[in-house]
Amino acid sequence: MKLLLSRAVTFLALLLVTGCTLFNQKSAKSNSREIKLALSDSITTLDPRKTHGMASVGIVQMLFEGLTRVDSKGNVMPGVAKSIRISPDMKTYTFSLKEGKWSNGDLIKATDFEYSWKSQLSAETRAPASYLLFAIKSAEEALNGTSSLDQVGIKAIDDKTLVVTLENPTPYFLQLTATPTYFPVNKKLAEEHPENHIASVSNGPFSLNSWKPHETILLKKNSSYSSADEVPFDTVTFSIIDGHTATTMFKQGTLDWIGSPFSGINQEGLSSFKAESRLKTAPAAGTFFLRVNTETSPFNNPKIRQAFDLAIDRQAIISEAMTGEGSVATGFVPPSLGLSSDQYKTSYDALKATQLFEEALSDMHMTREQLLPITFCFIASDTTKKIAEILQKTWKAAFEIEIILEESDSASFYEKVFLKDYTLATGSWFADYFDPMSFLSIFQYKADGANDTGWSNTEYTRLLDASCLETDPQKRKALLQQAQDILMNDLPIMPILHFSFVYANNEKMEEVTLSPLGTLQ
Amino acid sequence: MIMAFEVLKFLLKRFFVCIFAIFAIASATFFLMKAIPGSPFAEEQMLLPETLAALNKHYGLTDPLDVQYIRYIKSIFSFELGPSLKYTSQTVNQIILGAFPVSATLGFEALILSLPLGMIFGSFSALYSTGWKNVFACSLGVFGVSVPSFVIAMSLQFLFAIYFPIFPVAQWGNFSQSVLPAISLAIAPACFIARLLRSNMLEVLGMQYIQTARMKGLSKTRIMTVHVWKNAIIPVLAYLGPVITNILVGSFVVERIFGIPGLGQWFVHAVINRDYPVIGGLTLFYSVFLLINHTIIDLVTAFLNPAAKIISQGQSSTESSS
Repeated sequence: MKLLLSRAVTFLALLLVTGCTLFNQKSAKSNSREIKLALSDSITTLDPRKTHGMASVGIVQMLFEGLTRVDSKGNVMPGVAKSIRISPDMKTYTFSLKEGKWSNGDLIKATDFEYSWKSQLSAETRAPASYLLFAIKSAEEALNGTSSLDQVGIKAIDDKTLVVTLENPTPYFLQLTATPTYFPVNKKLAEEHPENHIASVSNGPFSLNSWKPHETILLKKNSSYSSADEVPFDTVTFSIIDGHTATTMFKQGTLDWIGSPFSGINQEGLSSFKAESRLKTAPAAGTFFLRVNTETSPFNNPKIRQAFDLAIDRQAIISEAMTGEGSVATGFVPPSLGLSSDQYKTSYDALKATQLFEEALSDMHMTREQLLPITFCFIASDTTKKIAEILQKTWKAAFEIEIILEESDSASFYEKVFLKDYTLATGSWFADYFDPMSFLSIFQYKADGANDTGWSNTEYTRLLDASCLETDPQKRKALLQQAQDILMNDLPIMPILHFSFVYANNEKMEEVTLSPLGTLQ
Repeated sequence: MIMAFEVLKFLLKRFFVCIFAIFAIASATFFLMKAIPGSPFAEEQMLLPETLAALNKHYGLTDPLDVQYIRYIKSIFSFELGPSLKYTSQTVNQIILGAFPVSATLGFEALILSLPLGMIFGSFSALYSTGWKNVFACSLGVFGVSVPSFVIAMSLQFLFAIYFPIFPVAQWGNFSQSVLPAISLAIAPACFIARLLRSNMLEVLGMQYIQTARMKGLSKTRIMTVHVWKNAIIPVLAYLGPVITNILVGSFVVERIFGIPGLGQWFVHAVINRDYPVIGGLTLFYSVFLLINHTIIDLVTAFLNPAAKIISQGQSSTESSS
């Protein structure tokens, strides 16, 4: 990346670096340029504006390209933008687009971006991640109807220039422009044929050839893509296949990739791939944690939260329930996003936990029996059930109380958590973009969509607000670090572990790796 | 002429019974699915209130329950089952049109495999109802009925796709891919038919009219085909109604193991996702299919056995199906 500083403007010329690494490999090892991947059954849409979940995002990133791309270390690389001019106050971004075409031959225009982003600010589009656009001026007001779409800071000046005005200098804005929410959609197609699949015309390395729900998704190399020559594969087939069958097919060689981010690997596959040293892991920017309802007794008492947190033997959970995959989480933000979390705690301390628990009981003038019943909700699955049973045992040993385990399916679990009809519940979060804010912002406000703990802290909110205004990276990091300190001190959540991506690939896809965000590189 | 009139009367009566049954099934499905906790739009990252409100409004989930119920009943009788809440680019009608032919092809293969197999096996074990042949036949029958289809599916997969790689492990598209799933689906009904036929045949063989036929000097073949088989097969036909529906509409487990995009997959995912229109639509499709099947089977039974009162039979089987 070439960075030019001038008196008036910061000019980010991204001309010198090209393409994402997955599509930039000089040669694929094998002659075959057709790859087949196992896919779990979670894809309901490939419209970048509506997609969510790691598997769909992974496929959408093969189909579409945003203004920027991000490599496995979080470095911003050019996408559709050939140069980006940033104003000194870091609130105005001027993107110059390179010459490029959609897979149907239409020119990629700045209005395609403007249309895609603005359409997500109308509630009728029902875009699940439109909150990511709130960095843009008046975007939030437009979505809740207090401002018109014309006032939103997105403007296509001409076919090749897009000017974006931000609410605050958001230092991670170019990370955001690499997420599917910020991808363009073909405006002409969306307006003239709204009944068509929006993903049928794309601007990324691949185009959608066919999509049969519960069966296959077939992508073909997009010859209109600007770096098409560097795309190492001609076709990518995603087959929707069950864990056991997927393992068998991979062993037979009919699948080239199994596991994260598109599917899971069943227990049988995990142990046999491990034994054959074929299992690969990569750290994920994701955290598994416990949510605590801080509005009801007994977890409205911070000491009780600390006691429960201290009693957790995280390493035991990883080895017993996660077959050793993952790393102990002492903080909420995964280490790959740049904040340190070693200072919070290094190991569990059952003795201190019991002490704190007794203190909390006497502070509240309560007996053990009065605390009960405490229920612990989780989504039914082998892994979460194992984790829940370990925690139940741990807390029983430390505090002599019996926690009630309550497993449910995902639809009723999330509704329960959303309505705060729970005491303790599991949670997991994966970064949308390469910045600690992707994690910390969840708890910025009490009413935020994924907070669900009833917790808020004015100092925490202030620190995050200040970090959005801070343009100095070091000072900003310090502010975010302080915010995480507050979160880990107050413990509305108890981080358990940071996930690892687990996958197996054969020699055809040997050079492909996974970024912490789950993007193939 | 009298026969045709009888059939018409039966069909007309059955038609009204079916309409009532569909109405009852649809109502029960509607209230049951509304009673399950959970929202189709609940996720770890809850949607923004504005987006959630827009979604609920768009799909009419904010309307009072009676309004939703009337709309649902109307959609059923107009055969416009609405869009899926999750697969937003598809309507329930499109889902059924896409997935039913897959399940039906697989089911048809399983059916033409299980029917003759069951009948041959059943007759064989009835004729040799003593000695080791009997023990062998009975154990095989019990084995086939009691081993779950997923065990059979996975064993077949291991044997004929991995150990002896004759057939593909999974997926859908050509005939060879359908062989193993069809066998997996066919074994249980084949064994059940065999057991049913065996016990019926043994019962018929003990009847006086068979002894009379023997004394009259009729050939063994003639006794078997005209007297034994024709009578023993009637209970088997009654069993065929639900079996055909089950097999043709799809078995989730077998479809899942072999990665087949049939109706079974949609059924289970619709419930997990709380995709109300898909749950309602598929339940209805299943019921209509079952009711039509029963009607046809009752007609065939009546033709084979004119002594059976078509009308009274019709009523009893509809009651059991609903």
